[in-house]
Amino acid sequence: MATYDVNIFAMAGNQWGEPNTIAWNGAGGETTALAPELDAGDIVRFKKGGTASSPTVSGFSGNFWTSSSTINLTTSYQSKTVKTGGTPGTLATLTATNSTVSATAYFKYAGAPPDTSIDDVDDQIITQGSTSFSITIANGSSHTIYEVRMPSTSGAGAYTGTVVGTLTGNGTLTVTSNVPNSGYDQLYFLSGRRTVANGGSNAPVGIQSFTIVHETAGSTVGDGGTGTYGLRVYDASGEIVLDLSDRVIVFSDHVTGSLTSSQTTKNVTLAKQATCVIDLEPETSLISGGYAQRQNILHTSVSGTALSINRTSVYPGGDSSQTAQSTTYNFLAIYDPE
Amino acid sequence: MAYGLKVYSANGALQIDSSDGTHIMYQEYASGTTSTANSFSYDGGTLNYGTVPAVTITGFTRGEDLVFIQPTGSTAGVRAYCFINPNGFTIKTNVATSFRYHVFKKVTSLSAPTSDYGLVIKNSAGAHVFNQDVLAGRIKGRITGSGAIFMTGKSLYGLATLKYSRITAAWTPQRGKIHGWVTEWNSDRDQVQFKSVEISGQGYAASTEAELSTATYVDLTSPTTLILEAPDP
Repeated sequence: MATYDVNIFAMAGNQWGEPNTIAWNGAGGETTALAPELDAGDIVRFKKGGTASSPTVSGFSGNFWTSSSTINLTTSYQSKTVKTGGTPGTLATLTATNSTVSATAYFKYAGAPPDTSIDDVDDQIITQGSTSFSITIANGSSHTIYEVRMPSTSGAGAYTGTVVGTLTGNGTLTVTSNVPNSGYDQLYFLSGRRTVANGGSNAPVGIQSFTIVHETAGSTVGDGGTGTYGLRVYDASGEIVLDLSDRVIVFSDHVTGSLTSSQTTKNVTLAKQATCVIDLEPETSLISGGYAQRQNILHTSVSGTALSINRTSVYPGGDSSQTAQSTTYNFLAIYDPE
Repeated sequence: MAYGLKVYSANGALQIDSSDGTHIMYQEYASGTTSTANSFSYDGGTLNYGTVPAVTITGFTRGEDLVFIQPTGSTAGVRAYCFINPNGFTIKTNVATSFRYHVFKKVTSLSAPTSDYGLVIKNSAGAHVFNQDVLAGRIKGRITGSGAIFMTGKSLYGLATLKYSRITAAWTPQRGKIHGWVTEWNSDRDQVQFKSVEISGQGYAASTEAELSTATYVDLTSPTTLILEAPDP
């Protein structure tokens, strides 16, 4: 059983024209959507502060509380207890009154929880051009509605974002909206909700997050062809050392250096054109203290002799409250003529 | 070109050019078979790739030398990526197997050919531009991003390279995943894929929305790998 405290701060008006005031501090939601859930047996304690002599709290329903009497607030706590056998999802609307002014807060009667113990939903890479993706809900329950949500934009919590896919019980949940474009990724949250009809409160409960990556199209270049001319060289064992069907590898350049703490991109001119770049000293400590080490994870693109070295952020985790960092690179560039 | 030799492949790709001092081919320096991978584990329901004990190559030059690998045996779906060390390389893989490898150096860094047969090609400075004694870097394909090379009956090797593609966080108690680019072989070793897959379940278990963001890294650029044909060492 949990105990929640409420402090009603109420000031009396006076002859100088200052009005009566009242403020609800502590447990309780300002709106029905923010109403905290209370279980049977939970206790909510009320007391007053300020100069008002006799503020009250009313609205205690016998369907929600063990006692429905109005509380005349004092500077000492007075308690109300949530009754057993209430209806999940029922709202309690409580009003604190100080003469001519009042403040309202909401509580919700909790219900049986949704089944959140489903099998892990893995991250996915979807092929280029995909317009939807599907996840599998396994080992869930028919009384629970599973919902894929976008990240919250209101700051109200991870599992309060827009619902983009829904499924009751086990099966395949397909999402067709808000799918990332090719070359982009999207973070989603999966929540479970148990309706009042099924004994729940209908409030979403977080289960996990997952990421969908929409891949970019790859490309492939083949061998040196199958014509009837060219040079074929054998070693003494009869193994082919070089064949007319081969392309060969040619050294381009070995480049080392650094990106300053303000650089996310650096362009380097290679000694010879290249088609492939090998990172000889990639970052191997990928996460530290909750921060992906983005400042040290480099990616490259090469065209002719132009090598572009990039990183997604100069900050650990991309968090600008962190210290911007320099980093070093060590690349081997090679070329395979087509 | 007033002297020397140029050699082209059947479709016109330049192989040898004795008149271009920057056209420095790669040819074999060392080859062998590794020990078997071990130290596999699971995190968050995902296999953490096992490690092939580090291979040390005497005379290895990081910054110049190339390593190509191929799993032994006939298990299909063997995936691998590779760290290049100062004195060799370390393979990470999803299957407890050993690997064949070939190490290539610039031909100008190899000892001069010693055989008294074959084709000796030098440039105007007297340096060998082709060594008839050892395997050339016989490229059979280049893959950028996701792709595959399939050459029936050929023994295909993948370039030893490493590129992480994604680090994700999940809401605790779940863990995020780590993804990277791997080379994958079929059972006959004549088909090679290059793709980004989960390589570790040791992503981050976030407690706040902020951590979900800061512990996540996504790189959608497409790295490039090379596919080589070579005999067994």
